Amino acid sequence: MLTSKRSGAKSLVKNGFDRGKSIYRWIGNLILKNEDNRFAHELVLDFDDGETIFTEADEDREMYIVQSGEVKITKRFPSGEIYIATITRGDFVGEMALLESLPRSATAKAVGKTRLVVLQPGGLLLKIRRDPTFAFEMLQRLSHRIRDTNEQLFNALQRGISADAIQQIVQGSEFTSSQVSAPKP
Amino acid sequence: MITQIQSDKLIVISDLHLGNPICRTKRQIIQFLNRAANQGYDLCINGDVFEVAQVSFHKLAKDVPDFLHALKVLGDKGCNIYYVVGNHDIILENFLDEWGNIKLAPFLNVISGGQRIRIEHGHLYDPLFVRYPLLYEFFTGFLGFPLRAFPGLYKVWDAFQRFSSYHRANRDEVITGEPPSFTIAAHELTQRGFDHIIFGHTHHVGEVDLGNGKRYFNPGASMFGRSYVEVLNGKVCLLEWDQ
Repeated sequence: MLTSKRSGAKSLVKNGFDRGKSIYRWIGNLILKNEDNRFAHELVLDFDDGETIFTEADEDREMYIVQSGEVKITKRFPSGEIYIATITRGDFVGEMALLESLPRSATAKAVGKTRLVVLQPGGLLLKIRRDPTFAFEMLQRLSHRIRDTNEQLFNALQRGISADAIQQIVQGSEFTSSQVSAPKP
Repeated sequence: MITQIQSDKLIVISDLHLGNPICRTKRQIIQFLNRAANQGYDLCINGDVFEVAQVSFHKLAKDVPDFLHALKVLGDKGCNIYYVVGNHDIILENFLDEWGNIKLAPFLNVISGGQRIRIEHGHLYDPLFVRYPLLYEFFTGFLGFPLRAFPGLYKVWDAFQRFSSYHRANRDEVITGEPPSFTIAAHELTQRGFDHIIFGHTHHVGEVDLGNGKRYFNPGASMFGRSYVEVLNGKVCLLEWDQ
């Protein structure tokens, strides 16, 4: 009798423990499910070789991180299309349109099979919150690009392009950006 | 500041906590580093090697010279030494630069055999550190006192973490003892084109398959374990050094 009472109490405790454990797991699942939704992965797009990702003067605002493959950036000039850069895995492209809300300044095309992660304007801050080193790397790369551009300007100066012409280019870009950032009527 | 490196032969150790009373493997790790130097490995120290948060400078000064000598031997043999800053030595963030043989970095992106590997201490993904940084810092410093008197207390904390993680629903998808936020962060980083992720910080050893051949590794704490991560021509493995 006593034994059965003990085993009854034991099984009661065991049942209670199991039930508690399953409730604990259920709550855990629920939290993780929400967390998964909160940390939903960004949209991923696949491009074939030569396929256009965006074209100069396009109005879309997405930024792309190159997950695999490469992206070739070109710009239209009256004399034809000029190659600007190749963006490789881990680097990003299209950030100017996202950060400044301006039309695309160049055209991007996939080189080989290319997979891109899409970052929309509304998701950038969330991305930085989830992946704080992304902001650091983005600033670091933008800094590199400014340094490269400056070096190219100085090289052009050394090759004989006059300081006045470079000054005009620099002033022109400043004028354009201040003009565009003014509120539209 | 260095964040991008290339290395075909690299070992990653983490959380040695030199100067902390619970650090028991200083001698073994120095022997291990000497062997690594002889075999021409680059070394990445993934944070929390110098215990600045929990001990006095005197205690630290007693423990550190032998370790620095081992690093010097590595450097003299032409091996690169990278130091990724952790939360217990976060003060070193003020020195992010090249210091002779040692290069201090906030994180490292390693290219090896065509693979992209991210090495980061990982405290930025610790929910407690992110939500309550001041409280975290206070408790880290404060807990140094009881740990000095009763180093065994750490085992209680370790057991508690393992117990909590055992009852998590997705325990198969995370390293035992770790909150899921580390695996989520590793997933997030692979979205940016990394093939493998290496964190430290949690002191829990393990690896997680992130899908598509991508993996997340944690070598745990070198202060009482023997685990390390080896990167050999893009192949990443979690290994243990010999006694």
